[in-house]
Amino acid sequence: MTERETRITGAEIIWECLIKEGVDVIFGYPGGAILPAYDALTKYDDRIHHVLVRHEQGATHMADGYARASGKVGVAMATSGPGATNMVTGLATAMMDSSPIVCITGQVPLSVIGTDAFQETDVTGITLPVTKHSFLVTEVKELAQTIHDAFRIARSGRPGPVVIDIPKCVQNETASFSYSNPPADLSAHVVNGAVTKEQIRLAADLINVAEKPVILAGHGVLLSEAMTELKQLAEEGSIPVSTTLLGIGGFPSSHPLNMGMMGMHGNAHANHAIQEADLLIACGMRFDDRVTGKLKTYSPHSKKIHIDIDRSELNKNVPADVAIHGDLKQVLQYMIPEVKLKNRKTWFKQIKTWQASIDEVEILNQASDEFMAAHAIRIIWEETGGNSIIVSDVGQHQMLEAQYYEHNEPRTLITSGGLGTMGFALPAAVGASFAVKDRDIWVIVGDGGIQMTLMELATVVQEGVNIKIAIINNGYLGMVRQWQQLFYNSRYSETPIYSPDYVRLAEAYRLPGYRVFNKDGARETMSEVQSLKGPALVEFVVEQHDMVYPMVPAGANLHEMIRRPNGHKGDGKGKLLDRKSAK
Amino acid sequence: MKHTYVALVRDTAGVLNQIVNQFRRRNINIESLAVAPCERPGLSRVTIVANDVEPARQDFFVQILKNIVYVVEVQLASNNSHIVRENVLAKINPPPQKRKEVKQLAHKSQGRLLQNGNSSMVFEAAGTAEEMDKLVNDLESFNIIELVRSGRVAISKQEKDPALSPNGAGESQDELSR
Repeated sequence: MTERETRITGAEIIWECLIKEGVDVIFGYPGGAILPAYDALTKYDDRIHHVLVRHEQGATHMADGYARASGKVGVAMATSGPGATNMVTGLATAMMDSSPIVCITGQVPLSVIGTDAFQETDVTGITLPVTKHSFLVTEVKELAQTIHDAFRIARSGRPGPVVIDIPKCVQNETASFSYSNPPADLSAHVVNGAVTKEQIRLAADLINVAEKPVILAGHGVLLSEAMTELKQLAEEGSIPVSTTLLGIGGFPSSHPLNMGMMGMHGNAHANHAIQEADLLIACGMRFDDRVTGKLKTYSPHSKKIHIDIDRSELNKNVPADVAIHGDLKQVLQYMIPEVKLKNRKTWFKQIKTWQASIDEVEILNQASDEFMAAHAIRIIWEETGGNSIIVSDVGQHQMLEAQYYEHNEPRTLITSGGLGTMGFALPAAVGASFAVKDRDIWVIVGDGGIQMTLMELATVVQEGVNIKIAIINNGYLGMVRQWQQLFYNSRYSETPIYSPDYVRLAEAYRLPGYRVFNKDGARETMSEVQSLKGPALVEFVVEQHDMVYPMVPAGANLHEMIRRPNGHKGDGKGKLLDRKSAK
Repeated sequence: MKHTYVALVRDTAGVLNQIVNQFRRRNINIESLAVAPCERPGLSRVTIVANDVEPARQDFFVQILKNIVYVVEVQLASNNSHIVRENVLAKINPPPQKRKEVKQLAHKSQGRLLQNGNSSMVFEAAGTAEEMDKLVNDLESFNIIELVRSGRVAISKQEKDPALSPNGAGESQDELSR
């Protein structure tokens, strides 16, 4: 089918291409070098909704949150120079977590590129190391093709961010427009893998003889939409599953075969099972250091099957006995018919024993009037019926969310895993709200993280997005404080942090604001807030010295976890913030 | 440990930056880098010699280089799989009585004199890196003024070029998917 060719400006080509790619929302901030594109937007704003952010970092996190919630490509736009450099954190976040976003930046005109012109930066140079690819468009006739390629690269194989840097003159020039052009020859890049019968047979043989296998389910399960196949493999092979942080939701939390999260703050029984296993089946995960602990002693007795869409992940950190480069869903479909059900009663009994030892020190089982962050998150889970989309930030509350909020469906937890970007949650939730209309979205964020991007509260109110914000306030940069307590002899260097009065802050932004100090208050407020249409903010004032357990110290053996001592409340050392001064 | 990679890349701005970045971010020094257009229009062949402290990382580098959008194919080159050569240009100023020895060295090393001036001579030779190391060593007695080495270039010994297969050579026959 050929499309009618018309001559339009580069600025118009941008919007025409985005519409052809199915984009109906974009997150951005105007400025000098992107002015032509913003001017042309006035002709397209009936088809594309533009969300005006308060900082370009927010635009990238919003595009990222949108992508993670929808599975589609998220789009952000900014001007040259500072607009583009503000996007770098968001690009790196998306890169580490394989999130497909396309960021369009204005650039100074070609005639002055390289002259240190006003608001000029080397955007492609800065962004290449933190993107899948970064384009500088130098001719308007190449613009449509470039945008086409950018979307293809962003979503193909292992997804990731792509930047398109468009000089102002290219936006102003005209060209004939057609989007029916074939994609560029990127055949070497866009590879779906090469799976052989031999690999499938070898993998199935390992599974069928294994006495103590564990499936490690990563983000790839969600990205490949292999949830059904994963469940089938686990059930038909009778194999326990542990997920990575980003793999949460890829296998139902309530499933009896789910041992929960692995790694530094993973469940003790999951980590013990991994260490004792005789076979690991790694599905779309990358053996990150937060997952493995000390590599030399990681799961020392096991054979490893590693399935990943990114060839460079295979044999990178952990050598695989069978390394399969391919799309997880398809690989599992080949593999499942070869897998035989095996009685692994002894293995499950052993896992149960490990699990029982956790329950003894489980914070929820300890009678206490104290209001811990874990209680706050458990109450959010109970009161939302586990049905909300949770967008968590980075730190203690993030790990507690992974432990105490049970996710049974994919794409219900959005969090910055690989880069650990504080300030991610609020803007990412704004982005997610444009993809998810039929359920509540809760931001769970610490008092440190919220203060990194709280300017986006204005975006929340301007757009009227229906997100609820839970600030878990312990008066500290809690995760760093935890490391200081454990590994720096309780010298709390610069971790006590002052907060504004969040209720009055919410009021200043014309948002309903609440503050709760205990479990009953939390439950009451949760049900009130949930009945509200539109955004609201709740501050949970929690115990200051609580820690996240279990914890594998950085570089320690995975099975050597610091466990929650019975009734432990921290050592009480260091200066406690006077909360009154913070109110 | 030195590893030699041969990459087939799109002849476009930025691709070299991306390749170099993969080494730079891991603090690996690139010892030599040679780039030029090749037999396929629009593509260039790059030979990279990198000095990596981790001996077993070469396969990883092959894969991460392949992940670059404009990189078409990457191979690890060894003396078994490839013919590896280097070009040397040396400007020397031998004492008059030694000029004859220079001519003998040129003959012995299959080199030649490109310029034979009153105060200097320009010597050219090509060969394996080891041969060129030895040659440079020999030239030192003739007072080297300026030395230029091209860096290594490598060509596959296979009679059919495996780089022409879009997804690399050696994949199994019973492939299930692509």
